Amino acid sequence: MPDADLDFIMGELRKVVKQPEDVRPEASVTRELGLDSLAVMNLIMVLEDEFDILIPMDKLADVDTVQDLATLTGSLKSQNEDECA
Amino acid sequence: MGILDKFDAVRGAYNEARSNGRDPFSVRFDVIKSATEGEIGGRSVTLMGTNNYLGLTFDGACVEQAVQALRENGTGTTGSRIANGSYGLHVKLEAELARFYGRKHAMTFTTGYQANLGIIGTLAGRDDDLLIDADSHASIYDACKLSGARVTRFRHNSAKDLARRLKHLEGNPGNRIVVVEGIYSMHGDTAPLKELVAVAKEAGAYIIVDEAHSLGVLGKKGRGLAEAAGVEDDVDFIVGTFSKSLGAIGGFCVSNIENFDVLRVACRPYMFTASLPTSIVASTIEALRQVEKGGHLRERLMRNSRRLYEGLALAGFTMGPEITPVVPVKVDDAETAITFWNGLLQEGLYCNLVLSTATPDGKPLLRCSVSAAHSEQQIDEAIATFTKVGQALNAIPKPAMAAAE
Ligand SMILES: Cc1ncc(COP(=O)(O)O)c(C=O)c1O
Repeated sequence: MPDADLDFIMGELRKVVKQPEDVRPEASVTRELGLDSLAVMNLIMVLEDEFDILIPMDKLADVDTVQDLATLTGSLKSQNEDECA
Repeated sequence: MGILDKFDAVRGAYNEARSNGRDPFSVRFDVIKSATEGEIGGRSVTLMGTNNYLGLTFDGACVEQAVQALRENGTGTTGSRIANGSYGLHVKLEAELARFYGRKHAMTFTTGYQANLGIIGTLAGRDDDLLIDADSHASIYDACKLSGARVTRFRHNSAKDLARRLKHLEGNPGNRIVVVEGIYSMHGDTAPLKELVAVAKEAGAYIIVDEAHSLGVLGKKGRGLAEAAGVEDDVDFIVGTFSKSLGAIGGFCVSNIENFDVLRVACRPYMFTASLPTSIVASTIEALRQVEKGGHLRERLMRNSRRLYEGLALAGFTMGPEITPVVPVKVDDAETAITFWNGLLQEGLYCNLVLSTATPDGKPLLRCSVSAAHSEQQIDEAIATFTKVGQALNAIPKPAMAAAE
């Protein structure tokens, strides 16, 4: 259900950015949406809770856009399910 | 694209902070007269942001020990202990630290920052998991990067969130290492260490406590939060600094772990930097002695902290969650915080201006740190100054308005 995840992430972002209408999948989380490192880390915690995953900090190095973030949480979720299976 | 362009946003914020008066990040004191007084531009300033919890920076015996060591051993060691060897005083300080904490091993570093880089960065390897409190100090975050381990943050002071995360990591081949602080440097709250330790032990994780702001402050003997919470036996590593209660500079780690000394040849922030000058080591040995027998200083420190905290709360300020010598006043926005801070300095009170990225919840702080050396009069004057400036800025209600409500 990657689309639902993306929607959730965008919804969370809209709560914290100055211009909610700028939140699109291809927007850069730090450069365009203007999240500082603290805001990013707080968002990560919300996502960890929502999706019941751990997002190691080094994984964020590959994240630029909102879509990248959804892809990352998606892959961590499926790892989780593999482990449980 | 210029090499410093990536800092445009930081530069913007910095320039804004400076545009309001003095540069809050490069205050220049003409002279520091005592643990609680300095001078700026010929005017006297009360120091209430220097982490000088026990006021030992001008202690006669500490100064005397430092001077004697300076004369005997010279100004610096000019190299690391691995390359240039140790002085007798380095070894003595480590023995004193080990004895003070009742542990087998102690190791000193050139700063507390480097102690965290060295201990956390070396203990945690590629296959290990580091779990750090979300409000951790920058040195802990930087140590995580150096380690190469997998790093996750747990919610500040939440044993429950830590437990949830440890459960996720169950069955991973590496070690799990939990890092917390005694007193958190910005909001001044303490960790629920008993609960955190229980969760960590249950999961077979190691636990490191950074007692930077709690050494000399908490515990009957001043050993910090682990002593106060009665969990010293279950804390695997304690790290700390000589730069706050001990009034000097330097860092350390103590532990009972077997083969501890291998760290001396594995820990790069120990191996590849010059060791502490012996004048610093000598004053630290004396300061440690005073911490141990400093019950009266801790009592005064707590009395002063309570007086400031309660006075400011009564004046209507939003305070931190707990009374400790770190006393933060929360301010709504950066602009008010900067003007407020300038106003305080104008009135002869120095505290720390902390803008959002350094604070856990993104709110700017006017951070005070209290000393046992403050007089009650200095504390009362600080409350009066905060109240006067705060009322002028409408950060708290003016007396007439408060009465009308
Ligand atoms: C929690 C914590 N750890 C470590 C440090 C670093 O200490 P030092 O000043 O000795 O480098 C500090 C001080 O800034 C701190 O607040």
